[in-house]
Amino acid sequence: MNCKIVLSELDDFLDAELKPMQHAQVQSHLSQCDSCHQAWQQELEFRQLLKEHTVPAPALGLEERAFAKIPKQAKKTNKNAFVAGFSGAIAAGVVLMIAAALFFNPVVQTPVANITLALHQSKKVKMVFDVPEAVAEATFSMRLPEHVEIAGSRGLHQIEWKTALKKGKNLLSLPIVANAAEVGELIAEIKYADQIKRFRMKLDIKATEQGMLKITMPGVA
Amino acid sequence: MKPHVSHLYRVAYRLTNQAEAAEDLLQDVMLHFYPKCQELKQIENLKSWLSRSLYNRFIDNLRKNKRNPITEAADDSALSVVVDHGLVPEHETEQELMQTRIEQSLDKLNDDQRHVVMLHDMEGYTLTELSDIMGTPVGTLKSRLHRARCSIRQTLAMEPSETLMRVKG
Repeated sequence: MNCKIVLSELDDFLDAELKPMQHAQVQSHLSQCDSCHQAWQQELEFRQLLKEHTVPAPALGLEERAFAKIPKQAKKTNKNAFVAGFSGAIAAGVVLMIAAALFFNPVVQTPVANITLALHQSKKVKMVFDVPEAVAEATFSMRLPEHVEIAGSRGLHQIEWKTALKKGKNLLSLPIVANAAEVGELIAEIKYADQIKRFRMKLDIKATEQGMLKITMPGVA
Repeated sequence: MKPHVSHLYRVAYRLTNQAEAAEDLLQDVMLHFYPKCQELKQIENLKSWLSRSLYNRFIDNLRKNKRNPITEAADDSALSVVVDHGLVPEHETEQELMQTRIEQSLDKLNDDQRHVVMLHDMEGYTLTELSDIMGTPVGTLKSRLHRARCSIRQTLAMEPSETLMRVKG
């Protein structure tokens, strides 16, 4: 087998598309011919580059959302009441954002401070969890004060579910709505093994002249 | 179906290039096949089978959407803010740069070439599986793959070695 044939069959060789005998012949040639071996290595590096190309990690709770539109009676698993509220999260706007490095870095970054929303109008809380390594199973929970609830789920003030975290940024979007102009606190926790990260957010909700509420997030602890 | 959600999302993202559209496509497939869970258990290569269903739905949607010039923009504002936080190791920056360059090179391909290179070289499907998923003969897929790789190499300025060019020329 000469260089011309080997190089023309390099793609098929790397794609494992050659018959065993041809595959062996190309392999044998590559072990003896420096220039073809170099071309093969170059092609390997190129393929590796393509293989390493990733897609952005999905927002937190992909599995829940993937099954969210399935009628409840059809579901055998996933009885979490959170799903209904969360599936409606796509349509609303931004309320606040937290960027936090979990588990491997104890430092929590200061969140955005002032957010304004209209009374009885849902807006999204967005939290970004930046993890240095993938986490197979983490438990996320959130507690809201009595006068704030998950939008679309009347009276739902507390949610908890298990989820995997991808390496890098994991986005959680959750719509909340305030029903009264009272001070409150939002507590979010993420647990992994024996580690817990807790976020406390003071909600300073005030009705404005136009019937708007101003929610201030002074910091996390 | 649950074990396949992450993988199907990746395939959907490869096809749509948009997180929200990928989730919609994934939900669409789940909604359609969830009531048939028992039947799905009989399928030998469920991953490949679901991928084919997802691909077919993507193509159907694409045909429908071609009639509608209005498309929805993805809301990436949250993530762009996050990128500004924290330090990024040097090797990650290089990796991100390469990611961007590869994405630019993918943008230059036609849909058929882009799909085959993404599903074969990036997601690891074999040509036989892709032939089944995409309903296209292996030989055609090979040609598309070859042209796609050549185009990507050119964009990345990674021409084949001089030896290869000399022999082929």
